Amino acid sequence: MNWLALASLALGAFFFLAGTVGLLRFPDVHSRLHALTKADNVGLGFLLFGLALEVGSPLVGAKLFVIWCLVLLASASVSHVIARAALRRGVEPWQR
Amino acid sequence: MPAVSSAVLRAGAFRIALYALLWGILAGFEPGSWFLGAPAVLLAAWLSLQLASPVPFRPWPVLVFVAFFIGRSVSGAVDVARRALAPRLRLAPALVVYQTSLPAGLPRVLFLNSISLTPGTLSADIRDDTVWVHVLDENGDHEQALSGLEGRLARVFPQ
Amino acid sequence: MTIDAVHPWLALFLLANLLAGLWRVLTGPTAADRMLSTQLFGTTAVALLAIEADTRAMPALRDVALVFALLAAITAVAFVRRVWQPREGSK
Repeated sequence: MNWLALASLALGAFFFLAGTVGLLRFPDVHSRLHALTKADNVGLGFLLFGLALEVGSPLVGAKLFVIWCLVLLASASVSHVIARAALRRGVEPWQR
Repeated sequence: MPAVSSAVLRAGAFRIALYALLWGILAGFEPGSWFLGAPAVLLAAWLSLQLASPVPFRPWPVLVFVAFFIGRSVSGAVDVARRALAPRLRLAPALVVYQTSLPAGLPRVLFLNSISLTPGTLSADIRDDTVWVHVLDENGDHEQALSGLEGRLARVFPQ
Repeated sequence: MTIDAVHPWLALFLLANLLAGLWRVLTGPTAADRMLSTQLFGTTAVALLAIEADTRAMPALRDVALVFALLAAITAVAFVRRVWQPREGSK
């Protein structure tokens, strides 16, 4: 049993869960973007890292890393576009 | 034949090496894969030079930035997980404005995207040099965090 | 027990997570809230494909995950085009 890989997979699952809880609980679209962009990306990172450890091939690890970089780029950009669209359509950020 | 500047030559050599590495990772490094791979890499490098002019950068600060970025994005995720799973929501969101001095292009793209992946901040809009940043907690020292991030990127891209 | 035994549970967990996230799509309230789900779907799809590539010993699924990630990155182009404005009007 590869405990480091297992721990990494579990951490990944945890961050996915945290992202979804934030998506459901946070009060407005801007706060929800924080939850999803940060938690899910790091969750995916831990998950792919765990899988790479399991497979143990550097080439597969490198491919998973490239995939992670692409997803990071995509979701950070999409999150900016959504935040901007919401602001420009007059969705005021929630305030306490 | 027009003279090719050394900056373009250096950028071309770097992009060929980078794309060859990518090809190897995606399609495998065995000799047979380069029958298609070599022309594809050269074509991509040529095309990329037509579409995007060379952006000079310093290799060592790039590595420093990548390590810093990975650490910050993990703490960003931990921060947001703590807030999401806390019994009572402790959010005090606000929009803050930040003036950036990074040049347009790659440095700015990286800046805006890094803002969204580091703790408590999300880039929400940009007009000229003004960036609107949504923060989860208005009490934090965001000015300092943002200028720290900007400074690290400025070291990667010499002006 | 090998680590492969946790893969189906991990995949099931991610699917349940996705299903819970669908609540946000249904309730909104704004269009931007619904758009959020594209993020959740993209990241979860990549995660599921990477897991299945391992579980089923089908490395090609990893390439499917890569294509998903690439397509998602193309949507980032809209963003880049906006930010990539030269300041001095030069090329």
